[in-house]
Amino acid sequence: MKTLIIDDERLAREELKRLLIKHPSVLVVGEAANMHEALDLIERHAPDLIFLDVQMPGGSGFDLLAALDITPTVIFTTAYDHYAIRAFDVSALDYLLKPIEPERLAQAILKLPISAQLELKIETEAPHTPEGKVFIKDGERCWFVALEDIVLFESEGNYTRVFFEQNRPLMLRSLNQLEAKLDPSKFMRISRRQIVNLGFVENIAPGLTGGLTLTLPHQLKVTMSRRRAALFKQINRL
Amino acid sequence: MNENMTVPDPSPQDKGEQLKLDMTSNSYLINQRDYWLAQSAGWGGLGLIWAFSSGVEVTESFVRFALAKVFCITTGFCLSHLWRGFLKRRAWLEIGGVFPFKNIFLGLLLLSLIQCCFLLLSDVIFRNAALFEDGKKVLGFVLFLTFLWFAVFLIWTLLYAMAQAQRRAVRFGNEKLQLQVNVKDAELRALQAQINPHFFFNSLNTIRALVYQDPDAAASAIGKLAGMMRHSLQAGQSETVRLADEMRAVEAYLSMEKLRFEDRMQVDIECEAGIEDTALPPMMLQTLVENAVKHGVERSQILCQIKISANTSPSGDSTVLRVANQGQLGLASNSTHIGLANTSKRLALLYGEKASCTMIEENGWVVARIVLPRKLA
Repeated sequence: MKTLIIDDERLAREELKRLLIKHPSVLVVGEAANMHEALDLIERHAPDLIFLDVQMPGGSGFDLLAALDITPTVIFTTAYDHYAIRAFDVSALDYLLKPIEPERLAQAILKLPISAQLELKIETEAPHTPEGKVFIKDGERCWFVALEDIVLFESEGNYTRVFFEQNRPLMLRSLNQLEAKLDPSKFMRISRRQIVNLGFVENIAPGLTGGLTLTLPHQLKVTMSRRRAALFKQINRL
Repeated sequence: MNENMTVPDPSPQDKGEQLKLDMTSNSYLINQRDYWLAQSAGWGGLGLIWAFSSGVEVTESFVRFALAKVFCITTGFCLSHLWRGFLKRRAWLEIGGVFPFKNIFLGLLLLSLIQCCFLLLSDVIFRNAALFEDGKKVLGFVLFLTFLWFAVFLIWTLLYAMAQAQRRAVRFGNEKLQLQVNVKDAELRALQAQINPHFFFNSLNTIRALVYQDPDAAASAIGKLAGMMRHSLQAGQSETVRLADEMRAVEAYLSMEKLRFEDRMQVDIECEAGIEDTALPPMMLQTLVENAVKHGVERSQILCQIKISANTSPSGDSTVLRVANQGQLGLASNSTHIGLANTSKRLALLYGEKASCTMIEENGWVVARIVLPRKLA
């Protein structure tokens, strides 16, 4: 399992590396001391797992995650940041309190998805795309959402509003950037402004201007443009 | 007719208690002085009115009469003073319980009878018993005089009770205020005395890494952390600490942070000789230095310098502490502003207007500056 350690303190990184020696499934491929270095390393190594300090100069751990298109598995490390940890759904991510207890670290590694643990032996083709997650940071609040739970992406200038469950946070990413990363068999660009998760479409009805009106959960209704509707019908042979 | 009935507790708990007691004993003296002033003015005024009530003509009988009046005013003065002592001992004018109308009435009656006796005595001494010349009128005179003096003592008692009530209201207000101030100060002290948990756990983490890499450095770091803990524990207990002690804790703190941030942090401390004994609220300098690290070093990816200095002010009567870090003020969070406001409040409580705490940004440095008078307020 290719792993990165991201922490601004050298001794803290050394300490974590020392603890990880006992876990041969975890292969530390790089260390970063700030967000900039971290982004570089993530692009270069495409790690499966990152240990991430919450507080860093030049951007917090959350800022780093929000800058990633699709995040690897994350284990947060922090000395005392219960407020920050509480800011998002803890069950989605694990976190370790520094100084890290070896038993607690072992538990956290055990909890990792089995696919990630086996990866050391069997390299899968595209590990992230099917069960990929995306980290969204809107103001003080953060979410770590599985792509399959997202109903709709809607463009708002340079931002995109993400619809899932009852939440509607904004993420700093254009719709075009997102479209390039999403699986086209599951997500469809229905208009200039919207991408829909086809798995959530409850009903399709003809719209007024020759397009199609899609009904989504939570009384959401979106309209597919005429051009796209034609394409859609052609593909699905409607 | 003002006074303070409480006697200061002779066993002060600590300096703070001492300070408060000094204030009450001071107001005790002021109240005593007010009482004597009011007492003298009241009786003196009454004497003057009475002396000139029968016109001024320098004859022998006038002088004798005046002497008798002076004598009676003096006895009235003394009687009312004794009456005050009596009222205090019996606590008849205190709040709580039934107001003892009957006792006070009897007391006043007794007072006026005694005063009446003094009046007759003065008549015998100074006027050759002029009153007794007409035997039939004596009883009427005695009754009239007793009634008159009853009225005088009644008015005295009413005025005294009013002054007491007024004083009690003021004291109650003061005590309430003092209590609020004490509670606030205790809260602020407890807040500032706390070791920042973020720092504490990060330090432990650093030390654990050092245990394997450099055992000597680890041992020395544990000593530093212990020293800091001790200083902060003591901080919760005393009103002020010596500048030298606070400086030592700050140095220990900074050497811990230096282990964490390594070459991202550079510290320069300059402390003028001879001001080691300056008293300052505990952890005050420490709080500012922690702020400088939090908003300067922690946020910086490159080297951040911190400069700390302690000097005598140009005027020579106060000490100026300066904590500067490279960075911008705009990045400071709300908590810093609250911290700064708390520091200002603590200073105001201890030193009044003579102390100050300010934070400014100049040429890429954030500078916190504290002015401490050499003596406590």
